[in-house]
Amino acid sequence: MHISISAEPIFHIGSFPFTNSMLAAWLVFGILSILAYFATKRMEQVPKGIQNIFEYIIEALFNLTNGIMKDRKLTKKIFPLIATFFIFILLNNWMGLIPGFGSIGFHETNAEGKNVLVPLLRAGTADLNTTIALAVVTVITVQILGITAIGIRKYAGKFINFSSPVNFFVGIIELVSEVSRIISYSFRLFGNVFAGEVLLAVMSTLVPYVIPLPFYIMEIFVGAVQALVFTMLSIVFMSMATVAHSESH
Amino acid sequence: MDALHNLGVDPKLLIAQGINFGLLLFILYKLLYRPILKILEDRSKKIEKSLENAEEIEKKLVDIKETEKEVIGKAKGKATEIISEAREAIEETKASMIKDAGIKAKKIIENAVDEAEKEKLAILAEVKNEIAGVVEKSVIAFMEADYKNVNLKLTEDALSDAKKVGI
Repeated sequence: MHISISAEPIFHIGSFPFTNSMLAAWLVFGILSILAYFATKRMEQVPKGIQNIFEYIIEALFNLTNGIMKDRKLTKKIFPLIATFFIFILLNNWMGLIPGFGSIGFHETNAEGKNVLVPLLRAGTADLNTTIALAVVTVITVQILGITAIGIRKYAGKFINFSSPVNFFVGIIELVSEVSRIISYSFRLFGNVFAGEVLLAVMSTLVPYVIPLPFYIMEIFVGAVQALVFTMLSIVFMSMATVAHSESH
Repeated sequence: MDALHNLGVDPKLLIAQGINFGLLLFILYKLLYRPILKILEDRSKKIEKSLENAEEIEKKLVDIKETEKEVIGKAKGKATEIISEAREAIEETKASMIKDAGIKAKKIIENAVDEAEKEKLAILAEVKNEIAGVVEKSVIAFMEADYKNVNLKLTEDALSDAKKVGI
């Protein structure tokens, strides 16, 4: 059994390696776009079917965001990003559980001369590139929100503060934590999803029938929890960034 | 950086995934979030408005009921007034009618009495004439028949008879 920690390229476009996780991410992109199109194609005041489902999801996410932000105007600003995080991550996590992901592919001789199976599809979130990209988007948004909410001088004052040695040191720590957030964010999501996939692969190899089932159920749960954790943390950081640092802190 | 490379991190892929996500964000914003949030807001506004309207309608209903009661009360009062007025008017008319009828009856009786009196007088005159005629005729007949044998007593009898009748 071969498990690769990185996504494997399935073909190259020039020097650009098109990986299996990229293909899955595009698949999610396509499915979501089509669903969104049909959900709002014929909007009705009394919703039915797919419109109803999306209304429910969006309203629940909006209320969740608004519950933390406690500012309807700000919520409206960040909501599209938050909702997309949740839906995109959730679908990617769950897609990885569909049979065929990781098992359908082609054989290739790797650098070590071994014949390995390169899966055609791999969950988007089981690739560090995706999770880091998401984390970077979050951190950049947090900075922009902070600057627009309390002004660049005050916001920069959070990190660069010469009022006292303690404050200066706290500022440095804040700055480091801002950067480390990218790492903690991306690795948490990647680690959970990738570990889940490895677990399932191992279990399925050891006992192909029945036994992997509880693990599948657990992974469905983990997928939802990780999507929620990423989303919630994003909302919390965004809401924190919009509040000026109090002097007593 | 080597560690990241070992984990499969490739700046090219990273940027591509970022762009992918950005595109998805844009499409979902245009296709999903904006229309659905709009419809949700519209709906909540509509519900708010209907609730307000319902409250207003209820208030109006209470007002209407009160006005109804008031109007009905007023109408009842007026009706009693009208009825009593009508009764009074009827009473008055009745009295005046009875009075008129009395006067008229009196007049008729008076007229009838007058008429009877006149009739009586006319009859009497006629009777007088007729008796006078009869007397004249009989006198003439008597005189023409045998005036020589006129019985004075007979003449006296005739005259007394006439007196009895009242001429």
